[in-house]
Amino acid sequence: MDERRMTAMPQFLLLLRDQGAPVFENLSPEEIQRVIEKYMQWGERLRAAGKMKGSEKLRDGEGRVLARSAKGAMNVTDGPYAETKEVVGGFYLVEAADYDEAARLCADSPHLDFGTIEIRAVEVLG
Amino acid sequence: MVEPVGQLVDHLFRSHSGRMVATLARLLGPANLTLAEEVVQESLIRALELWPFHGVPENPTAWLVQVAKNRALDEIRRNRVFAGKAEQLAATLSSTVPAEEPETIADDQLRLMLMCCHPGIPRESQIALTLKSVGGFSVEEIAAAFLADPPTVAQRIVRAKRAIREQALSLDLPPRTELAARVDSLLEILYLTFSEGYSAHSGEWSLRRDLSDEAIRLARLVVADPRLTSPKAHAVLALMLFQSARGDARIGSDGNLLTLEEQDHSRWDGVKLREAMSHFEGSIAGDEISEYHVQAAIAAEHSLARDYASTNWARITSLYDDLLAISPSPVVRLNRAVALAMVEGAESGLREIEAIAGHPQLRNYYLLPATRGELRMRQGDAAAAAADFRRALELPMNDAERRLLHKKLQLCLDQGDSRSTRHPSPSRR
Repeated sequence: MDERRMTAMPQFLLLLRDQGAPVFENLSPEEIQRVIEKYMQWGERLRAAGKMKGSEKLRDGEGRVLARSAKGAMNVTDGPYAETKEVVGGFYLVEAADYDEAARLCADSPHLDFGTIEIRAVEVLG
Repeated sequence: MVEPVGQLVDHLFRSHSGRMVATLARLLGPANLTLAEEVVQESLIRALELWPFHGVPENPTAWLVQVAKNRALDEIRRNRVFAGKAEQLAATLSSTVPAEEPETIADDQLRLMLMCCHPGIPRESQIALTLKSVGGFSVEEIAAAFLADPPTVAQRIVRAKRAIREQALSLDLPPRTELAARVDSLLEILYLTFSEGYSAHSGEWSLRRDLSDEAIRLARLVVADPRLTSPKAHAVLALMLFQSARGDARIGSDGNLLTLEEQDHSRWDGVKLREAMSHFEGSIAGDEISEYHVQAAIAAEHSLARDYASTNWARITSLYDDLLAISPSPVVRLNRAVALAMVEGAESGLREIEAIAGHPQLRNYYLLPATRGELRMRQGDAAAAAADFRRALELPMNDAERRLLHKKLQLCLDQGDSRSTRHPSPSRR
């Protein structure tokens, strides 16, 4: 594989959905620590393999949805998740050859104990 | 070997939740203990939500304390319960530095523990509350350790907190006249917690070890505090350390329990034994000889022996006599019978056991038939021993103990088989 191809490794956005803090309310401090360690070890493995390109936590319990009404007025509502149970709590940006590899990277994520991971390929101009 | 990545300090969250709760209980007042616990729990969950994405902050404990304080401030400003007191509470919370001095933290924990042991709180609630608030254990963990239902444990904690509110208990040290009794009560709770973890009635080994370790940690705080320490406190800590030093050697390479006889003494924890010995020396200072003193002396004898055979059983037997004089109990007599059998032979031990066999307190105590089987085995009566082990196996015990007994039973059956062809071949279980 030549260098140009290497740098053009496809990127994938991993959207971590869960039901937020209530899931963890009854965990003991020890259990909470173990869960954190699992997440960190998972992230560490991806970083060590050069796959991890970034990660951010999104603020829970807030957000805005913009929409234009039929008359052309801008509507701003709270959301988008008022009626859905699972929300995107945060995201990772990873490198992988294809969806299969991206899915493999997620397979041992501790997040799957609490929620789901949506994998979306980043589109590139080409 | 690959370095474990993403590993936090062992039990960081458990020990820090206990510390933070104790400090916040001081700042918010003991009537708001529940709020203290809640904001601490919220700070830990906040860490769970953020750290996987942002990494661990440079000073994780300061971060956790700050988050917990901010949460407490929010609640104080929002909740009308605090109306009138909000300003003052908020000022107190904001003025304190995020990372307290170690002495302050120890002091906070000791005061909270002593309050948890107030005689106005029922004993079972005292234990549950101490483990929850100071020990950082969850209701589920406490329930698992003490073989109780989680709702029962939760109820005990509710009762304790109600007592704190209704009797307006404070975190002040009790007056001099009451202090010794309160510390005694605390030591009793700590030892109970330790032995609950050590005796392993059921459940996960790791959790039970945490329980014992936590009891040791808290006992160290008591011993190190000049206002609270006493020869008796040293004795309790020495006893815990002696037993804990042998903890790992109790489990064989196959994960099964080993008898004292099978244990490799070189696997005992030398550092802990030395610490135990120094506290044992500290325990001799006073005139009082408590149950803990004698038990620590027995544990010391075991620890000093190079192996099972060279144990000074005569000395241990006489220490059991001392223990019986302080606290006469059939369980102590059973232990004495084991030591006596080592000095005088199985016959004497069996006679002792016969004398206590009918005691109601031992009706469901599997160690009675198990010990009898052990001694009969030593006499060479494999058939009678097998019957005893079978009887023992009908009584409650944990899985590790059950496996050990099955092993012994099988040994009896094999031996009976090789000696006499009249016995039918043993059925394997």
